[in-house]
Amino acid sequence: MESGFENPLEVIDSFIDGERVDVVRFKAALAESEGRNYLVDAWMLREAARTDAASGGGFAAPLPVARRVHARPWVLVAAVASAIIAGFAVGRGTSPNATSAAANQSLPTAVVVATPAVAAFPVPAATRVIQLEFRSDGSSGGN
Amino acid sequence: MSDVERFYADHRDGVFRYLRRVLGGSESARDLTQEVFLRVSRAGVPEAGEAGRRAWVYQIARNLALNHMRDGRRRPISVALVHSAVPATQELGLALQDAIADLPEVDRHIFVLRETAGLSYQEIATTCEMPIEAVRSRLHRARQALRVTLGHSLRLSEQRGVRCLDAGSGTRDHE
Repeated sequence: MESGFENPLEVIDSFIDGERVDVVRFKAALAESEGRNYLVDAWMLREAARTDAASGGGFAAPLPVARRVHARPWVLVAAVASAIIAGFAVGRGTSPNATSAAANQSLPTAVVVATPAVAAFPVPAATRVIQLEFRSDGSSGGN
Repeated sequence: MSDVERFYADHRDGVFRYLRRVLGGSESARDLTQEVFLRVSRAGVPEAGEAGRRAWVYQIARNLALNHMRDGRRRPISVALVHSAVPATQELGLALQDAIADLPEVDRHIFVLRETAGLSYQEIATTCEMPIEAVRSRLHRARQALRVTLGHSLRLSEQRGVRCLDAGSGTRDHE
């Protein structure tokens, strides 16, 4: 049972809020007109508060689900092992030793001859022709 | 249905309405309700009685609401009623939203936890981490402040009468 009220009308609060109250104290509070007015106003406030709250509708969203931040340990281990095995297999299949060994067994040796770069870079047409003459009297060249 | 799903189904509407009332906006309340139950799904529902679980989830909601308010230095804003049958009720509802926004922060949370979420004094004491006597005293103070602020609207609403509502059901009796 409630005790230690700061205000005599608090017993009315306790009563309307479903708490067990002292009957003598409750009767005394209701004997005063202020107590009766307070009781009625408190009921009206409750009705207004609940009607207003209910008019806003409910909450229809689905339950929010927490995302898993940490993956399960065995998933991580499996992923790392798969990556190692796959990397080993790919590396073994494409390494130079493995390629040349296989080629030596099944294909003739291929000789690669370097081709001149001239074909790839055509010489532009001459824009100015300089003709050099060589004379035997020693007047050509020098001073 | 898992424990978390059942817990979500039982409390999502109450938490949303509590946040909507203390924050004053449906968008913020929707986001924070998602955040509340995201934390619930991460932590799992505690091994406690129903009262303890309710206090626990509303404590999460209250802390998020307080952080939200302090981060933005926001004052709760009024929310227009979507629909209401009686004009007097609508006027009182609108006035009540403004009046609740003007309450001191702790009193506002306590009033809304009681009247909208339907928490008991013990549950509110656990949620707000204060003695039961303080809860009762602050609740009385909040009601007195609302009576003063809403005097005119309350007198208008008197004409349509008043009915007894269950002390512990929050808004569930309207659904």
